[in-house]
Amino acid sequence: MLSFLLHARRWLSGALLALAATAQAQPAAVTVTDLAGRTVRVPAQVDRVLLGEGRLLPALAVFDKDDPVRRVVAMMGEFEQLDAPGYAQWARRFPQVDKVPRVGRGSSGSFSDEQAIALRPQVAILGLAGGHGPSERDREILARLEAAGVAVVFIDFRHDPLVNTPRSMQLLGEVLGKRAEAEAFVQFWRAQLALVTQRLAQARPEAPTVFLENRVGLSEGCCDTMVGLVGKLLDAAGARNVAQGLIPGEAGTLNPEFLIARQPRYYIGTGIGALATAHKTPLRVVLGADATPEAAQASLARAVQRRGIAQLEAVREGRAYAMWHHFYNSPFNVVAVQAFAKWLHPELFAGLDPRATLQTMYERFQPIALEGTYWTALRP
Amino acid sequence: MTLAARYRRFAALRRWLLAALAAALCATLALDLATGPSGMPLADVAAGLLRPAALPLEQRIILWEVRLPYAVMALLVGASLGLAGAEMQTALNNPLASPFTLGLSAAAAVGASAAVVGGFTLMAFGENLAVPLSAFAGAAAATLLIQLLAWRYGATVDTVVLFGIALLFSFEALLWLMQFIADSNALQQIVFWSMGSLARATWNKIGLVACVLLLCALWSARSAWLLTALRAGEDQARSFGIAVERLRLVTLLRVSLLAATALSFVGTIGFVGLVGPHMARLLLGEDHRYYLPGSALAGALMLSGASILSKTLVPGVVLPIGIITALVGVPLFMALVLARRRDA
Amino acid sequence: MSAGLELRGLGAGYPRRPVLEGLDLEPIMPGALVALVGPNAVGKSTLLKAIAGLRPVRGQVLLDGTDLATLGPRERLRRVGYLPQALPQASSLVAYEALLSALRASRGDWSGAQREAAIARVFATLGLEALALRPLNELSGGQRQMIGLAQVLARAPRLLLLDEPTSALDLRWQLQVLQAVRALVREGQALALVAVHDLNLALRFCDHIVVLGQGQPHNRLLAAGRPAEVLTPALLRSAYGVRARIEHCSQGHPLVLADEAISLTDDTP
Repeated sequence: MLSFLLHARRWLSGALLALAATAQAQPAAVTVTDLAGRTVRVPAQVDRVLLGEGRLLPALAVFDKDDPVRRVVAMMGEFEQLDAPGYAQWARRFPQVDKVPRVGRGSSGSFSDEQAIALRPQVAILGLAGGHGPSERDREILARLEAAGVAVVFIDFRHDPLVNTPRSMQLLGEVLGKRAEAEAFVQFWRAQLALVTQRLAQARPEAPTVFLENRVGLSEGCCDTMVGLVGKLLDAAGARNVAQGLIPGEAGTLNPEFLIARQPRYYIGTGIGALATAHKTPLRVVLGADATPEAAQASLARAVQRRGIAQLEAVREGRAYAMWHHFYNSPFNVVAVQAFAKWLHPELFAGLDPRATLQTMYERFQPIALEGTYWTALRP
Repeated sequence: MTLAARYRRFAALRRWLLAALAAALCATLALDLATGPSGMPLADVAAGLLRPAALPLEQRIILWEVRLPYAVMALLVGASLGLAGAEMQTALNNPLASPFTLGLSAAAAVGASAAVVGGFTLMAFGENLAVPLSAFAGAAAATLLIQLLAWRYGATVDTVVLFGIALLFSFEALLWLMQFIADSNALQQIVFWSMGSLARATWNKIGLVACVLLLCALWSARSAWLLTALRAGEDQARSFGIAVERLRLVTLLRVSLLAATALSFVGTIGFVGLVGPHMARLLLGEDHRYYLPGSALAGALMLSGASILSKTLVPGVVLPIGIITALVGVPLFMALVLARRRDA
Repeated sequence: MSAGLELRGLGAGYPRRPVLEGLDLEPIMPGALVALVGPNAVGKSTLLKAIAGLRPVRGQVLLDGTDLATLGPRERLRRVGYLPQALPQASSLVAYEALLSALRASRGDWSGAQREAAIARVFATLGLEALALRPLNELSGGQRQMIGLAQVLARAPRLLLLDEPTSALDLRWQLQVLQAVRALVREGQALALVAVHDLNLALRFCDHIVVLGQGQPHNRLLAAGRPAEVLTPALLRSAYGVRARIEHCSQGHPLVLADEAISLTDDTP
């Protein structure tokens, strides 16, 4: 009797193994729910991807460290436009990225659905309504892509970064069949965020007021600000955004008189300047892949001399900082939260080293080295 | 040859010119279908039209869901704007009249912006019709205002044109207000809407525009002789028993319907309603039996050509079509004006 | 049933300013070419428009015994043809098309053949065949005026109301137009009421003359009758405020010779 049972078990497990083997021989499609709430069927083996924003390349690189460009058959062209030094760093390491066909330039209106379809991607990875690529509102374009057999998947790093960044990375992991890499990233990301949020929850310090200036130097005067995008990262670091409740939507303009009357405790501007073109845009703050710490600080010092900003107490007393703007659309945004926390609550986060966090993230999750400066302070 | 026979030959020439315009339109349509960033060879295009199943899936989608809707929409919108412009220029006795002049485009833009800023959604026939419907409502509101003002204060040419210009400025100001309160995403959408784009063309929308065009074309055909009589002079037309003010108001109503429908689906496209009628007038004169269809054909030709240019001017990029019509329309208009002056 | 044109107590003008009031005109028999004269702004155009039905009118306008006000617009157009003072517009419309559209609008009951015949006839009468296929914007003001006249004459109405049809015409065409209108009126036993400024033309061609004059509170009929009888120096003085003589030319036709404008304070006869 016993021997019969043993044999049966072996037979059963053998049969199960055989079944499993046949199941793997025909890979089934995966059904995912994306960040726009859409249910999408994605092929199990994804080799041809369209990037709805060129700046999603670093996120993709988390899963394809050896060659992030190998799956990309088409991409939008805003990466090289908006973050030239960053793109240059990628192109130096992976020159084939220059040859990837562009299906549009910097704005969602320039997207060519005909070209996209002709390049036969299996999956199109798009970002939720950002203005720099096709969005969930472009129903006609989505309908055409889907009719041509392209699985359209939405991710998001900008509208709700703290919730959607891990979800987006997990979704990418499912779509690309790299769940393990996704989990590794998400775990690290969550841990780094928790370092800030947990300590804030315990210590409950008072939230200092902050004026967050949006894309310093882009418009002539003052005072563009955001409550969404980078503003959300700022909120997580225990700050009170002076524009909260005043701006409808994610970004807007404040009256400079209001700022002077309100006198926020801290000034933080976001930088969109590049060292190579700094002479053409002298009012921008130089941050990013080609920025040196000296250039970053000098450009911040210059930028806060503008009328309306120079008079703020925060600037006169040296509580002025700048952050790389493109953290608003990057899975490495947790590093910005840490830097904010360190500036706003220095005693609480004395031991925190955001630069080391970023360094580790690059080493573990990116095929390129960390180059450049991504934040700076008026008084280091 | 008797006078009647001479006239018959004269009219026959007009009909041949109309046919030539139609033939030219077929040619631009074919060229429009054959151009595009994916570089589909002409043979494949022809094969795909006759037997869709012969093409691989992507090419089939490109042909039937991208190129064909764009090309057909360009045709229909161009024809609508050309017809509307011709009727407006006659009704207002002003060669500079166009759907812009009465503030229709600005009103449509305000309507569209309101929908974008408010984030409204209205699903019908599987499309989000909130923006087109709002745009149409804006243009309809402008029309209603003009009709009310004209009915109350008199529908002479001067009054209507002045009301129209006042509305134009008012709606432009409202549009700026909308842009001011819009967040950056909405703002970008509004700006792109103002540049005109065929990218939102779907077969359902094409059906709608085609229906309205057909309806208005038949309707205007009934007034063709009355409008022709108007060209010899308003007093003269009145002396033949034509109710000139009523004719003007009804014509403007029809113009608004045509222009509003076309604009609400493709955004602001200028100069077609201005230049198309001038082209038709040069070729066909002002007998509205030929002038009206000629204007529609000329408008369709212009927009079809603009569609081709928008795809081929800068390789790899599709320029918004409103930019092309403005860039090409202005020198074309100048050339037409100079040609007329040299004749006279 | 009495034939001819008769006005009974006609009043016309603008809502706040009646120009003419209580105008009575004895029946004018068919076959007559009637001149309508008077100083500027006395109401000649208003009278013609009122009879044509283009302005609101009080009183009665009787044509062949029928009050025109009782007719529908189609019937009215069949009988009455009004030529406005303004010249046809200089558009790209060709002359033939202008006439076609006029006929289609005013005589919708006619067939294509009838229209063709009418147009051919009126172009021949007025000598305009060479202009038939030329666009209006290539024609001079005088030529356009002729086309405008052709538009009205083409449908050969019973009553012609012409408002200064010779204002832009040269000497020859002035004569040609009035000759043609007089011939048409006589052959078809129709009536024509023509507003003119040139009194000598009126004397030459018209069988009947109606003189309007200014007055308070509204303008009035000063005289009506045969031109040679009606036009006297006294009438010319009270109507126009000019000192003029009536003399006969070497052919025996009466001519009006105006000597000078009388200032309003001058009282010498």
